[in-house]
Amino acid sequence: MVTAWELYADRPSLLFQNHLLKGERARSIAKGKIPGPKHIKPADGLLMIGALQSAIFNNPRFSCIATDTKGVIQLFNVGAERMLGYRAYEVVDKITPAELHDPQEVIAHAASLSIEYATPIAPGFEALIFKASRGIEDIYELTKVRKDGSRFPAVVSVSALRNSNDAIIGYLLIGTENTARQQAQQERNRFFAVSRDMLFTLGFDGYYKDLNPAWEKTLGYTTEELIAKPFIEFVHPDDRDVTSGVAEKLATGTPLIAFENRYRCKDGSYRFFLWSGTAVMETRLIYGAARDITESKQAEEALLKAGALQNAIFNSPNFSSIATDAKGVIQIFNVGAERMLGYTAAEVVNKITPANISDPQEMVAHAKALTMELGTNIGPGFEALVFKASRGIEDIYELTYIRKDGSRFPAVVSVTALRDAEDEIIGYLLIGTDNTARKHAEEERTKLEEALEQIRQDQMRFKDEFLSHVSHELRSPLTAIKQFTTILLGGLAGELNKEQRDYQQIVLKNIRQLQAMIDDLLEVTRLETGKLTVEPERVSVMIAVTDTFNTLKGSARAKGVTLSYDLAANLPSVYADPTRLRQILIILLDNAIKFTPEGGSVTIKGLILSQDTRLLLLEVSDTGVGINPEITENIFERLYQVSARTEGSRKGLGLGLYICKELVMRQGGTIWAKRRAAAGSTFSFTLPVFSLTNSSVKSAPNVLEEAIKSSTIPMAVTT
Amino acid sequence: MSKKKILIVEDDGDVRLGYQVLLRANGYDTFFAADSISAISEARKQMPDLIILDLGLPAGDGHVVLERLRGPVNMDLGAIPVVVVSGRDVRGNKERALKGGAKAFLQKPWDDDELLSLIARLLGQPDIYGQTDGVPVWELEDPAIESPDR
Repeated sequence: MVTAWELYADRPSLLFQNHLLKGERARSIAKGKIPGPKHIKPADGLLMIGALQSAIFNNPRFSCIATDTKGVIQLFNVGAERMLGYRAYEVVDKITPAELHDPQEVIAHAASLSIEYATPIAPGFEALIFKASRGIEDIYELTKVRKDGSRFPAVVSVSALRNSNDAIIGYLLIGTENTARQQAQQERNRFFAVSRDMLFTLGFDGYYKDLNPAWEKTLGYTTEELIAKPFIEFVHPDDRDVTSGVAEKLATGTPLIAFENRYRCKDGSYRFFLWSGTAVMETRLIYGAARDITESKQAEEALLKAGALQNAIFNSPNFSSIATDAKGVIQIFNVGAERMLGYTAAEVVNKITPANISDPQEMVAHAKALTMELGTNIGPGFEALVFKASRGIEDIYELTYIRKDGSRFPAVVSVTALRDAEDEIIGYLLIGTDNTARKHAEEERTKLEEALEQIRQDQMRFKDEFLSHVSHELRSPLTAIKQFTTILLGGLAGELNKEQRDYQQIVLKNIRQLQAMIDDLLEVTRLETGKLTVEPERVSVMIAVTDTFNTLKGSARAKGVTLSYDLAANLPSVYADPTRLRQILIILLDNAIKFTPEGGSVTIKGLILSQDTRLLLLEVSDTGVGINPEITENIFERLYQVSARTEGSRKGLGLGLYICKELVMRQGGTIWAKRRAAAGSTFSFTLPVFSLTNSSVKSAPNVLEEAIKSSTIPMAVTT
Repeated sequence: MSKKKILIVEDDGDVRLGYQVLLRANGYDTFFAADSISAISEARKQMPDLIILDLGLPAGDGHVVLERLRGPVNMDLGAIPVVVVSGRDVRGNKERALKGGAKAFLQKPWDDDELLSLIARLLGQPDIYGQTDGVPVWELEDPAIESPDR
């Protein structure tokens, strides 16, 4: 006979799984080197079975009650005594087990058995053993009644006891106290009640049968409200079709792992539910749970959105995203980079650095510029591309990428260092955009600006040419007018009377004004077109001043204005264009006379500047109306008109002082105006003194401009 | 004493009439040409004592006429003093005219006194101020230009 141990010894693999036998000893037993535990003989086995039966029968956790065929109790074990409170002698040969049960339950049990077997079964012991007497194992739950009248649930197993002829000699009722099971049930009920998940039982008819309190809490409906309507009515209209489909599939027996839909709250809002469930076909019920995932759903959606956005950015064909390791070797090369550069990711990843696809000349220049900017030597190559980024400085620059086919395009590249949790640089990200369109637009704009500038210049030239032409042409008729006016005044066409003569004089005066305006207009045209030339030479100030003086003394006398000049002794020559110098003096003197009332005076002064002997100062002072101090700057602007004029003077073109300023400046001098403290104005200008050095230099230095304007000099000179 | 002859080359009829009235009243004989081609033929025909030459002329401007008057083909006309008169800018034109052999440059519109004085002096006559010194007019007028050959 083979014992259990011998069996195990023949099956070493099982032996090794025995946790009681480990290591060397187990292996030795397996190989038969040492004997295992001592062999158990068959007689010992029978003894053991008897002991086992005895242990079971005396187990206080089982009630074992044996009866005779009539049901009268013959055996009543320790467990029965403990559970029911009776002593064995109190029941043996006295009562049947039926009397230890809840009579109502026994009646109900008998009734249900009567229906099941279609034969009347009396409530009582017969009902308890009916199945067992027919060889059917019978286990049922019943409430037992203790001696003290208290009750407890029990599960009772009933077997018929038979003799060797298979005749029934009695019944054995083994009962276990069902309180633990009941407690478990209560625990389940508690779990059902407190669960935050919404647990449900849903009938195949579409109505809820049972709902835990979580439903009320989540949705705001009472359980009654939820049970009153088909569950589908609470589902979001858009989700109803799919939900019905899922429910139908569940009802075919396919367990539902997860399903999401929207469920209506009492306040009309919807919440996201995650459902799971299983149908039990026998009961035609679906058992399941729903979880409110609205918050996590929203968070998830936000995350998804962000993720999708990142994805969209990274996969955008309009950005080249190139990530490298710390050494610059490309690790990621996105769709945009592929599209822009013509390489596939496989061709570049782990092979080259972004510097290899950038214009080498630019890389050198970029490295040089960085070296200059940061004062440290930076080599051309990837280092130059990421130098700033590696130091945490945001770096965006324009460079030229070279495509696989060798063509080039301008890109704007932003470089960022990628860092790990310890803030160590693990690589770089270069995001580039194709700058071609912008460059193109820039070029277009430049072209347009150039075209506009050309048009503007053309217009300017046309204007200047037109003005020049018109001015010249005006001179011809003016010549004829002047000729005949002079002829009439000269009496060449017969003697005029006094009135006729006076009128002709007026005509002549206006002709001269018109003539002066045309001259000014032409002069400005020449200034603007750069045709005005200044040819400086050694010029005697004395001659220029006296010459001008002689030219204008007539008109001064006619107006009753005293004209005088005051030139310092040994006044040096200036380095100027003599014609221009006289032109300046005539304009200033003419203006002064024009703005000075009868009885006033106009004076020309000439002196060497004490501050700078290289400059000669000429001043024209008058006792006229004077100029507003606020406009002393503007007065030299083109077309500037002084509103205050003495009577009889006429508005000119406003070009005289502008011409003066331009002429003075072009000869290396400065001009300014001041209101005199007493009355009238002083117009002052400087010209370089002639010397052997400046005669070889075209434009003389104008060092004292600021000092002169600071007003320390002019007043001292004029007063 | 016979009257001095002055040829006026001027395309504007009104201005020509103005010259005529003024110069005849001042004792000169006047002849006229209205374009650059007739200017030369008229000069040869009349052999004037002085030519007043406008710059803006049909069929070639006054500078061209001056060039031909002073050129080798017209040696016989070379000694006739020429006064260039123009509405054009003094700058450039004056210098060019004087270099081209003109005795003076007058900006239109001129003063009659100035014109008469200039003519008188160029013809060696006493001018309205009684001066007969014969100093070249352009030297007085513009010290910057010392001589036509500068």
